[in-house]
Amino acid sequence: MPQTMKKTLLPLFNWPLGIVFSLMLILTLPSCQDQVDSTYTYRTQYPVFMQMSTFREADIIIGPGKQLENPGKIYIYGDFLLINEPQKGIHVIDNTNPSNPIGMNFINIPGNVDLAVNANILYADSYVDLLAFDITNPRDIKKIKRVEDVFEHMYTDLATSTFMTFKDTVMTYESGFMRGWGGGWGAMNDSRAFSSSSGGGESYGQGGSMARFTLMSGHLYAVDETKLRVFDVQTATDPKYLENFQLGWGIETIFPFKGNLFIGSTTGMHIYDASVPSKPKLMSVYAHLTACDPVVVNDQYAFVTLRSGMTCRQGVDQLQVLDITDLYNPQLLKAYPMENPHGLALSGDYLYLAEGNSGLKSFQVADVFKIAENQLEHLRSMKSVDIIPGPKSLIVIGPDGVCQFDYSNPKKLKSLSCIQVKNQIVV
Amino acid sequence: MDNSFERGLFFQVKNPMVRYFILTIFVVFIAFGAQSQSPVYVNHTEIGPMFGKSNDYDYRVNFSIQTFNGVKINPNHEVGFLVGLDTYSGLNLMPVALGWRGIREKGKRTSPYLSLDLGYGSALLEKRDRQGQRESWYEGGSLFSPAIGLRRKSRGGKSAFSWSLGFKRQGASFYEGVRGGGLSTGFSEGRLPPGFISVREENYVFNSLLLKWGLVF
Repeated sequence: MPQTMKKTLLPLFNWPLGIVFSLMLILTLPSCQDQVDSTYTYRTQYPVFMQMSTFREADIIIGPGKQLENPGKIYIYGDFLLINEPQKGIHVIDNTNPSNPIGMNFINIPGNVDLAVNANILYADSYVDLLAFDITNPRDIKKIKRVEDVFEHMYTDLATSTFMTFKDTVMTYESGFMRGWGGGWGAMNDSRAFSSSSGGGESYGQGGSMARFTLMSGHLYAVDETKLRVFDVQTATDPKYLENFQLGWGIETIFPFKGNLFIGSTTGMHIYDASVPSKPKLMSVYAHLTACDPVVVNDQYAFVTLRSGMTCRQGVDQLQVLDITDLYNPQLLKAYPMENPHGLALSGDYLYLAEGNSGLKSFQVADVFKIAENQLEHLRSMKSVDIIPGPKSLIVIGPDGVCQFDYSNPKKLKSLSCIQVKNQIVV
Repeated sequence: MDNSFERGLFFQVKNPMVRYFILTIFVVFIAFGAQSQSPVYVNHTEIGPMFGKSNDYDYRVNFSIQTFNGVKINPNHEVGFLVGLDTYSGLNLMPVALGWRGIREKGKRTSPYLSLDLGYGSALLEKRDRQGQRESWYEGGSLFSPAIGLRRKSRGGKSAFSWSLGFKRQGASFYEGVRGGGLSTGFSEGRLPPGFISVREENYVFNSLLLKWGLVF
């Protein structure tokens, strides 16, 4: 009886046990000792030297729309969204219907980190140059001007127009260091064979090459780490570089307000009087606010978020309200505890606050002493890092991408759409 | 030794592949089992030491316990599913595997048998440790364990004792990462888990000789 059953089974089981056992021994015996290896993978930046001529000779290519990888600055221009892809270029997105944004074009601009639009002219930086594009018809964008060598701080050798930038990379190497449980893994083979990431996974980082733009009274202001540069753009198609002003160190942001320029650095907020647009004058430096702290302002108040965490080390998670009627002497009025505040947006009497992983909050802020009592909504699932109040929609940037909400009823946000990003934003 | 790139893909490939593999075998086993007319439930619980060499100089002895639950599909074959606990020094792994027992049944009280366990050693019991920006954790790995042994039936024939000698190949990994601040992960393209700026990865393969004593009923 067992004989007949065996035939239907795998032939292996009919082999004499001895053969099977020796097969097993052959397979297993050579690998008696435990194997262990260790690798170390990390992100880093390395300096790259490039010649500007290579970029100037190459045409700026305006290609078809492509997927957002790593959204940078977002600019709302009429029915269009312009989204910077740091160091790579600008996405042009048709946002006629905020429920269905359509990627139209991608302007390939090497070394681009910021943009600004003035009278149908788009200004964008490309390493050391400033470019101007005519975007009257966003379906047919034309490059109209290149102002050369304006961000010359990046140059390492002006004569050969060689400049330095930093490239991000991920490195993996065999590491000899073992954690050493289980009686010492000994045998430190310290041959640290570096194998840099040759296969893909590279992009240009932002180290030392940030430029931030803003437009006010016919002038384009650009800040980099140490300088404020002024361009005359009263003839929009013909930007003229005027001069630069030394600011100090760690400059990160610039925004215009009531004829003044607020320039945020890692150490404080510089306030410049720009009533003569070509000659901004320093009014004051307010050291309690830094560029790490997102700020929105109205006529009377500034709303600032302070966040504990790695980069800025303020040590508190707060929404602060400052009285800024006297720009020379801002006064703290009240601080509200928050969970993990990032960016914020002010639209009339309504304040929208990105709470990182804890979602998105909205407040009625007509009475700045009663903001906590006047919380309207807390969308816990909408993880967010930044918010822009657009004319058609509230644009929320978070791990899920660039999302839009209908905020015509500020008490009840209505989700419209989300543009997916390739590289998830980590809150 | 320049396979560092493949190894870097730890969080994408390793587990799904093992899962697919287990699933495939599982489907085959179910099909196998379905052919038999009246499956008889079998439990085979084994304990014993595992002997291994950590390196050229150091030996290790670890403890292993596992319990196999399956069906006897005919007098010669048992298939089933096993779970257990392997205590490597500093690391406890929980094997979750599919098992096969092939018995040379000749009607005698003592019969030789072969067994094969294939599956995954899970690091479920190891806690993820997070201190500030630093985080460390274990991941399990594939498990392959053949053995040869003897079974001796009890007088009633209902149960049996087993003695076996086997081999176990168990993979595992240890990770130690640092989380970065900032808004964006950028471009690590699968070589780092989201949010991390660096990860140190150690991959282990434990090769052990097993002595197991067990009970079948």
